[in-house]
Amino acid sequence: METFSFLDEIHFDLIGVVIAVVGTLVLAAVVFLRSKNSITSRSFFFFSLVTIFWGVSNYFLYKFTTPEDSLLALRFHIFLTIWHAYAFFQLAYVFPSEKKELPIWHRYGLLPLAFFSSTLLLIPFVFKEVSRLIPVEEIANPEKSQGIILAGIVTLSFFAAGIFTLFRRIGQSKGDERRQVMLMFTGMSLTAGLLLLFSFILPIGFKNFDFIPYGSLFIFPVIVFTAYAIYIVELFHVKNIFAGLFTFFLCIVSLVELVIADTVEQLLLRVAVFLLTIIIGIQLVKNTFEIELANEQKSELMSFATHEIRTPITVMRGYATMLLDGDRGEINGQVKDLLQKIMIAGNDVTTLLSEYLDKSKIELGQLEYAPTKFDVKNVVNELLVVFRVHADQKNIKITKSVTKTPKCNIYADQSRLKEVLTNIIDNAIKYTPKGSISVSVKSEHGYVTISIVDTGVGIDKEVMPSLFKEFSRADLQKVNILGSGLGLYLAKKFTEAQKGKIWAESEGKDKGSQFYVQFPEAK
Amino acid sequence: MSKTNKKIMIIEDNKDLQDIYRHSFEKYGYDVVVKGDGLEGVMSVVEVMPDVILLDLMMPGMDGFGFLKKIREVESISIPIVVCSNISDVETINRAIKEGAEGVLLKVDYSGKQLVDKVTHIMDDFYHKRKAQKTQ
Repeated sequence: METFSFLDEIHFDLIGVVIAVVGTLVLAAVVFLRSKNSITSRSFFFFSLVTIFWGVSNYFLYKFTTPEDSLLALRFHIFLTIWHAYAFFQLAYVFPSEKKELPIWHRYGLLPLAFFSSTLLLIPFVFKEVSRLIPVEEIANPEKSQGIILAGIVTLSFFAAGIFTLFRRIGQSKGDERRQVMLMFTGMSLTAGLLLLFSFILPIGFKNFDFIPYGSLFIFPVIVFTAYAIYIVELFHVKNIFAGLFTFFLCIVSLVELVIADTVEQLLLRVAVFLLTIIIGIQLVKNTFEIELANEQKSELMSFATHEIRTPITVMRGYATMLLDGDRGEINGQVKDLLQKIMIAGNDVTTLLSEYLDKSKIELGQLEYAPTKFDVKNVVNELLVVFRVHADQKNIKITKSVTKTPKCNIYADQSRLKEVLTNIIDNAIKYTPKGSISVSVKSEHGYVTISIVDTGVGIDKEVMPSLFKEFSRADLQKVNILGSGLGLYLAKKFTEAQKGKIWAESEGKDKGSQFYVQFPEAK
Repeated sequence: MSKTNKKIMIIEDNKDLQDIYRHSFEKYGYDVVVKGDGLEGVMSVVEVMPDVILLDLMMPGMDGFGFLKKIREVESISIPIVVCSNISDVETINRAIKEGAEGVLLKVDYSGKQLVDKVTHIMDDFYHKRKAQKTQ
């Protein structure tokens, strides 16, 4: 049998290029399929495609052995370099916006400039001919014309403008956006460092041309960091990352197998396996995207339904408030009592809706927080206005005590804290058939602590360990409670996600309970 | 709460909520102007010159975001805008703030005096800050 071995000469440069090309392709597909309508995803896809072509042409640039072939490859490579620089600038310009229109000067100025200057590279205006190959048939030494200055200026200007745009955005942006831009900037700096060292310093300073074919591998950091940055906000589901990485890993393994094939038969078989791996891998990634998309649509439907249900409840509460306030004439105690029950039922429905919506968002990894600095005392005061009505209904006394400190500021998502406290105070009222509830806010040792103490049914020792778990409820049959069973589970999630602490204490059944929510004080 | 002599523009498409809001704000002394969508609001804001605007987000025609964008393009109009919507996701709240809303309220959480108090507080805060900036 004829022996056909790659083992004698493993093509590390080819492996490097293929790793970069496959990786770039997978990441570009992942980003594009996830959000086709986002201008950043589209620009990233464009940049990735140009990067792939650029990487391949960079590899072949040093594989041709005749001056004619080298000239053709060189012209095409520099043609792609201009488009690479243009794609980089466009990505930097729109990054990380979902929707951003390219201005007129971009469409009718920069795009024709890239087109015009890159086309010049395909004709002898820039490279007339390749006279010789140095050193020893490796590097093409072309004869350049004046056009090289134009091509150089255009390419460098695009790159410089892209870097400047990113640098300026770091200063202008805040929060998640700033993190995204910083990530892309980090990837770009790594890429720039690698290119500078291996494609500039080593070849020019030390006449070492060994690493030039790995060009596309050096661009890989900017691709990886940018793809990751795009998904910080998208909150890309973990299984999609695994599907992408798994596919990438399989492709690399089958590629290595292919390269080290010993016989022609083995080579053919492994080429088939490699191609099949790519096809199945892409299908796997596509399927996980479709599942993700379906989940997202479910979440959007939940959000829409919540909005639509909240509106009639707002109307109902609005009219009930008008009647309770006596705006349509005096009402007797019995009617007032019924109206208050309507208000409470309305609150219960909105709380249930919010809890199911939050649960669905947690499952999809879409829950977000908008932290601000605020005074906890104001939030407690606002909530007690509503809950006094609930407590009055059950003849329960609700008292408030606050620390003498002028302000109890914390840094957290105010609406989420409201949800946490609403849940605990609402539970306290529901689980206290008679007696009282006291809500207090104090600021001590750098922490703001809100405590809700009731004289209600208390918490059994057996129930305590699972109190903050999903669908866990204390003795609900006895007190006939309406609820999703998610309240305390969500309260714990919200509090801990914002560097807070939540805990409960109880002496046992019928001995009341104490709930505490604590956050670091914001100066 | 003492009665005010301020003027509020309410931009809300739901007829029931228009009535409820009008009643609540008039009760506490506000002069109330109601508009049914963003475009109606944009067309009349210069003529009405309210002290504060209460803005819904989801409306047919020009929505709340369209209104915010148009108003913030005009530098001479410096009126606090309080967004009052039943959409509660962080992305929407952040976008509203970014596009120039002074405060964002969840409709279902506020009714009657509570709503009036909250809007008045945001409005007072806005003018207080502006006054402080001018004196600096």
